Amino acid sequence: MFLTPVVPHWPFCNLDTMFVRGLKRKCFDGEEDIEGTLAGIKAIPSYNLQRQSLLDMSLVKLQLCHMLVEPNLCRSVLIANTVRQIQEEMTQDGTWQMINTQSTGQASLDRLVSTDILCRSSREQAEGKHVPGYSTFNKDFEGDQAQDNSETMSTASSVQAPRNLQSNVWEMENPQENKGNFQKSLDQIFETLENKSPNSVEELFSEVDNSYYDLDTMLTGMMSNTKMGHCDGLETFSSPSATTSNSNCKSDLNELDHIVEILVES
Amino acid sequence: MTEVKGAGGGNDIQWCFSQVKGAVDDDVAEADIISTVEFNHSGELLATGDKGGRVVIFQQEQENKTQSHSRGEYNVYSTFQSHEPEFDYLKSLEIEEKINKIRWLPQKNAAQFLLSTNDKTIKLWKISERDKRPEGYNLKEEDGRYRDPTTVTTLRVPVFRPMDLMVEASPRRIFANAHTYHINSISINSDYETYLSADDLRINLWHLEITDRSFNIVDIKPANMEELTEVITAAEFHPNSCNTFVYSSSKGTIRLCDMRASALCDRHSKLFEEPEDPSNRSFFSEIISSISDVKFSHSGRYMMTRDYLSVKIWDLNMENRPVETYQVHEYLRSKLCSLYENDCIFDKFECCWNGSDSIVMTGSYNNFFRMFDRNTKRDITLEASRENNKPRTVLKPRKVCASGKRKKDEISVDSLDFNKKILHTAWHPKENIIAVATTNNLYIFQDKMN
Repeated sequence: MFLTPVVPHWPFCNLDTMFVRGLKRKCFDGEEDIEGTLAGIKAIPSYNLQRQSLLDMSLVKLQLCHMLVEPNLCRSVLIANTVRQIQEEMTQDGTWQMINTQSTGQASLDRLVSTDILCRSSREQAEGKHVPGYSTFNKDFEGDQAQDNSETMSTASSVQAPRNLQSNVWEMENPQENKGNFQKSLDQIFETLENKSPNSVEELFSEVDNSYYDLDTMLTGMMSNTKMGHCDGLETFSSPSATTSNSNCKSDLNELDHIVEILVES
Repeated sequence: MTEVKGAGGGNDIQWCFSQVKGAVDDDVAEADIISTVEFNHSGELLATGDKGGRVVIFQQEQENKTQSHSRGEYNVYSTFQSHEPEFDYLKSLEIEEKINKIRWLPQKNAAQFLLSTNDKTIKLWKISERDKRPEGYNLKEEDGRYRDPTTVTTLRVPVFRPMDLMVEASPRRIFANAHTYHINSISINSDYETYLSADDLRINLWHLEITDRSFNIVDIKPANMEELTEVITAAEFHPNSCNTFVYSSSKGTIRLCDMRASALCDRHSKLFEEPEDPSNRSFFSEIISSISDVKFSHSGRYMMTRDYLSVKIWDLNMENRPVETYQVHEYLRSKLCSLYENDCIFDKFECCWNGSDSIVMTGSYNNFFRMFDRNTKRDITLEASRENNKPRTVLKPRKVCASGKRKKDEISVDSLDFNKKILHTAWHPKENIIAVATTNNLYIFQDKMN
């Protein structure tokens, strides 16, 4: 039983259109336009949602690379670069910090966000996007986070429920640890590309939160065969972690069901 | 190039179906997937490589004077197993036998030579004909058995007698163990003595006679693999300058290197890069800018690059932007997210020039391929399909409807078959004959001769 995708126009949505629309409404139409504000809210969270899904999809692809005979280096590099780009943008506009704030409350979808904040984040996004090369990428997220927490608490209020949902799925318990894990995964991927062995694949794989796959299925309505591909891969390794991850899939899915039901009713 | 008056009164070429090679059924055997197509320097021979490691060479029939309405057909000339699957024991990985590239050497004597490569090993093959054999040995019977010398009463001189044509392919050189990463390109130098092979991170220079040694001329591997953000996607020698070659990258740049400058050409002589269009920027910008193929024009003045959505022509004298850009399938720009999801965004399309460098061709999805006339600025989309293809019937141009109302005979983007992709195409060096490879079939089209 699969849930209706949260973003109905997936997968043919144009991220660019979404972004540009939001930008126009916020910075050019003027703050007095309340309708524009409402529409802006709908545009921007969708963008974040899509971006998050893209990030998840990319990570899954990178993990899958390791299950093949020998990963295509060009493809892996391009996907990893995409992941970095998303990470950088999320860090810049502060949404990366929101993963920490999952426990601080579930903002309802109806909550109005002040236009000031929306304008600011849009402008930041605009600046970020027009810079051809990103500023030096700080891999040490933990350091960044400590500094930015106070500034971004205000943007934390614009966390939308669907995003929280994703955060719940994404992070297991300790968000900081997992971010470190994520970066470590990325680096490990390249190391293992160098000296691939079945052991390293399992190692890498065991660190992955297997509920990724459920997220994809739920949000993007990914083809069932792709998902089956993931599970098939789990089967073939026939390691203890494989069997437990299968059961994790199911329990997480039930949990997600429950959470979304609550949201939809509110 | 002969100019033919088309139905519209212009001088555009009218393409006709000529032949199709390969299995008819829809069930594609993986080994039969065509992975490379290449005409030799005269155009008489057409080689294909497949995923199963085989090379099939077709030869054009001599023109029949009575059949003036069509050029000679291509028939199978030789088939051989070029590469076998191997196992890398150190990494516990299988090395695919798929032929990534074939490049012909110019003909020097009666035999033909070509280089074929898989991910790790390059081989030089000699293809020679045998149409005579010696007969009338004194000490041997015709079947090869030795005769008892005491039974020999007279002596005769053996003579050559005609026999059925036999085409033999034999591996003359094997260039192995020089690439850690997957070989994506090979290119023969204009000196006809050396050639380069390029993998994701390195380019090596070989001498055709020497197999136990190669020179590394480009190395972009970072000290720390975690810092890897760019790979080499294609490389080619300049057609006239034996010291010049180019290589393209996954970030959409092309570097031109001069081997006279230093032994290791890590510093480019020229860097070709078009600044990004900020209005088109998305998370997929880098992926679609990755160059899948680079080809010099026959003249050597221009080079062409293929990225996911376009074909660009560069003047070697101008580095900051291409002189011409042709959109192959711009209607896919709004679908990049789903193309990323199903991995189609990583498809590597090749491109090619016609003999006079006036037209360029490249493939697309739904078994469509596109041609761009650089002079008239007109372009055409054609389809490689068994339906409605009778010899000498002119191919009907196709049109994809990007959005909105679909006109009659147009195809909407959503009904394109992304499993039917034309990645490999080749153009005869002298004539208007093209070879277009679908997944497992090879189509040959010719221009209509009146």
